[in-house]
Amino acid sequence: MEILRPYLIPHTSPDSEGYYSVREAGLKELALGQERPLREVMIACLREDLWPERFRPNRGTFSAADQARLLAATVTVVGLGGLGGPVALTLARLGVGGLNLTDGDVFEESNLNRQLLANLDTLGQSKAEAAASALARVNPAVSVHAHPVWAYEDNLPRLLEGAAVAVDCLDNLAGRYLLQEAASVAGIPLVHASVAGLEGMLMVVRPGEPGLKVLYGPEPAPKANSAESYLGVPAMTPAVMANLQAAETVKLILGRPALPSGVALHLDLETLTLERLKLG
Amino acid sequence: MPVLIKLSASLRRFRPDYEPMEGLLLPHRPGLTVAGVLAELGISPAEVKIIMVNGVAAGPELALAEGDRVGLFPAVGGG
Repeated sequence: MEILRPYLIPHTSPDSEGYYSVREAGLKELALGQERPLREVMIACLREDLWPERFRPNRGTFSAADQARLLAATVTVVGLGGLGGPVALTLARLGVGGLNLTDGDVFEESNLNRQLLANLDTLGQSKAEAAASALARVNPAVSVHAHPVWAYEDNLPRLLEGAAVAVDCLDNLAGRYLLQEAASVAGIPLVHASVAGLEGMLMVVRPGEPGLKVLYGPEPAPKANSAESYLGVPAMTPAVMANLQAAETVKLILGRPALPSGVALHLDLETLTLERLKLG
Repeated sequence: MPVLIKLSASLRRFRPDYEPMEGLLLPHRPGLTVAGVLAELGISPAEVKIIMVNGVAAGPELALAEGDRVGLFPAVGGG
């Protein structure tokens, strides 16, 4: 760790406690010298209560042990559109160290209204590959696996392998029901969100729970009958819901209380209300 | 005392006069059920996925009391 000395920055917390952070250049040098991933070097530093400078603003909300736990965790994000783009970026900024990013689609013009990773440069590109390259520019410590494939029964078990949490960022109910089933079989919680117009639903589904079947009925409604067919999806709704998903994902990784089972959180940006629906 | 009905998302299109901040007030009559409310408002029951009465999930046959608050939600699947 001696190699880090020139890269240390001293700080004093509001309660007069002294601590150090370390610049990324030093962490990269150490990783290169020890032939270890940057992610592992960061975890080792946090175990010594030495904060990577990029995560220092997380301190206070997260302990060094919490931050190390986030770095050690892997999350699978399924769907990389209006919800999945900001979920992936936010988790990378927070320092969730492993991200499996899945989407079989490419960016197209009708995605520009809301999808954070859709821009003039990424039109026509695979959403999964565009997301991986955007994340590499934000946080190179994150181990990103891009899967430019559609998620279905056959490949979902592999996509969820090693993940602590699955995040449902799909855009159709049929796919969401399949993902819920696969997450249940994998024994991991699912963080569901979906949107239509100015409204969104959030739910945390633990393994074995009926989840979406209570929320939307025993069988998925066809896309044409779902509310977004009438109301579309303007940008601000998925952006809000995506960050609620990121918050719940982090709580689940850290073992903090998340949205309870059988409760859906309903957001309405028209009436500016956020209410819990106890579905039993 | 009337019953207060709140409609979510695409269910609002059945009532072009719907005011999201206010909801709809329906006169209460004995024997009025959620299914009766849907019929009265012309809302397709197949599109209603969640019924909340006074903050508790309910079925369409539940008889409503005076002053009940009813929230109706469709399936949303967008992302």
